[in-house]
Amino acid sequence: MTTSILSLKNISVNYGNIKALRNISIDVNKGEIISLIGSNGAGKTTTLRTISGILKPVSGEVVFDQQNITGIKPHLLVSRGVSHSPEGRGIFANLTVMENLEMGAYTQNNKAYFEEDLEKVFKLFPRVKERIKQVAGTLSGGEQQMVAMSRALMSRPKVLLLDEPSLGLAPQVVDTIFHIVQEVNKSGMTVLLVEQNAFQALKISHRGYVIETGEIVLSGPAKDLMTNPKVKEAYLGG
Amino acid sequence: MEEFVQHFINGISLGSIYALIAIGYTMVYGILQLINFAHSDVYMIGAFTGYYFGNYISRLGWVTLPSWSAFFFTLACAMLVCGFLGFMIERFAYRPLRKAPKLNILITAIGISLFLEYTGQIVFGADPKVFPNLLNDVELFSSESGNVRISSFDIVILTVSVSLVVILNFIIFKTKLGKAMRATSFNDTWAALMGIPVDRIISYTFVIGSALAAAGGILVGIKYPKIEPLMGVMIGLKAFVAAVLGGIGNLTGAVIGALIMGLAEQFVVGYGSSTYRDALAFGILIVILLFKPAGLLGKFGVEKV
Repeated sequence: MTTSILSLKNISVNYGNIKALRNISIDVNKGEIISLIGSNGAGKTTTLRTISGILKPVSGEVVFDQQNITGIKPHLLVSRGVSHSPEGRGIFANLTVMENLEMGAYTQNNKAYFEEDLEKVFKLFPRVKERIKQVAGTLSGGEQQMVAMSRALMSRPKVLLLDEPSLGLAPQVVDTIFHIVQEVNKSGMTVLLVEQNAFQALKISHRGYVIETGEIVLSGPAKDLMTNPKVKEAYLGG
Repeated sequence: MEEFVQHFINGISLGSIYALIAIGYTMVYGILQLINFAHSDVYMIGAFTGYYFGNYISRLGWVTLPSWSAFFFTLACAMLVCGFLGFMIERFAYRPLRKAPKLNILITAIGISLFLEYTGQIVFGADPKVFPNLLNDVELFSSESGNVRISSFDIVILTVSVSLVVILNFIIFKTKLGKAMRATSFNDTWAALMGIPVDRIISYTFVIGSALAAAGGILVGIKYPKIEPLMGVMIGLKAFVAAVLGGIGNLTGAVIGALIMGLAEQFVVGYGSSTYRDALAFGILIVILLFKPAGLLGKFGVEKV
């Protein structure tokens, strides 16, 4: 019996008069990698932004760890265990890599935990350790993505929300990133992954949801989605 | 040559006061992209706080004037009062407009500025007041010809400004608060996603900036002891120019810009005509912005995606 750690129940979000999300429901179980796939403008980022409290839904609720977190401000969700690595990596380019990680651990007041987490992310991303003193804006795209993921892990989240970690990266780097997502997941982390790169996202996921113009049109085990003719045609290049 | 040295000393002294005020403009701009027009009036309130507090504590007999303790108590009091004032201005005038178009909040800033200036005229009176004699001015050095003099006020002004800037630098670059401020100024949404309480960080920014302006007010008070409710207008404008000159949003830039302004002003007064002292500020601004549109140390944001 799996337990749901994060669920969106009939969420609708509007941008002014535009309906960005219509009545979507998503369930994320503990220990899963869930991917939310869809094309540009389908509502993927909006979904993540609603979970982390940047956007307020007009109806529906977000339940995290058995608690209704709808409308709670983003900075208060971090200490509850939601960590959102935003679209475009969201690196503080004016800060050093170390300072970026410290910001990721902003809510972490335990120095020993901080050191421990630092060791953990260094093990996952040796490259981050090499670059630790550099100003983050001078890093390559792939390195910045590694910093973004490391930073997201520094708050000891229960759920990791990743918004298009593969965006604008070379195929080889994308492989590395997805491999590490899998590694992180194996250590017990629940991951909600938003991707345009549907094939690679589904390959590492347990289940997936397909979103189109603000509605969930398909969902199921990742393996089934990968062989679904509709998904194949629309997202996997036939 | 001696004359040059004298103007240089005066310029640095004036420039360091500009710097204390310019920092407030640049910090608030860095975090909210707002030109806080009320900042120069917070500086004025700082001077008046010093005026009332200095007189009050000496009347009560807590300290004797002039003395170091009177100076430091008054400085601390003015910084506290203005820190609180800055907090209130942000909390009740700017925060409700955070999501409104930038123009609305800019006009509000002008409104707050006028409000403080004219409330000041009602409460303090429009006529100039003589700032209490908190410190004795001692001549520390005088050249044989008498052309170069260093007074203790110059040293006090320089020491206090430099110490405050050093403390500020420590806060901004070494403490968790300062790092959070820099993160927030880069992108407040991302900062919130890290768990940084953005509203509180913005409050701290106003508190710190306003406290520094108050220190500027006290230092001006001891050196040029005539204070009045519109005293912030011109100096605020020059400090703002200094911030733009250095690259608004950049702390080091604000300090460098302020020193340039202070020096240039003193040299114009010394070698040219004091009629042009105010025109000069904008002259320099135009020239520098022609060649470096983002200011001396400023960068236009180029984001790598």
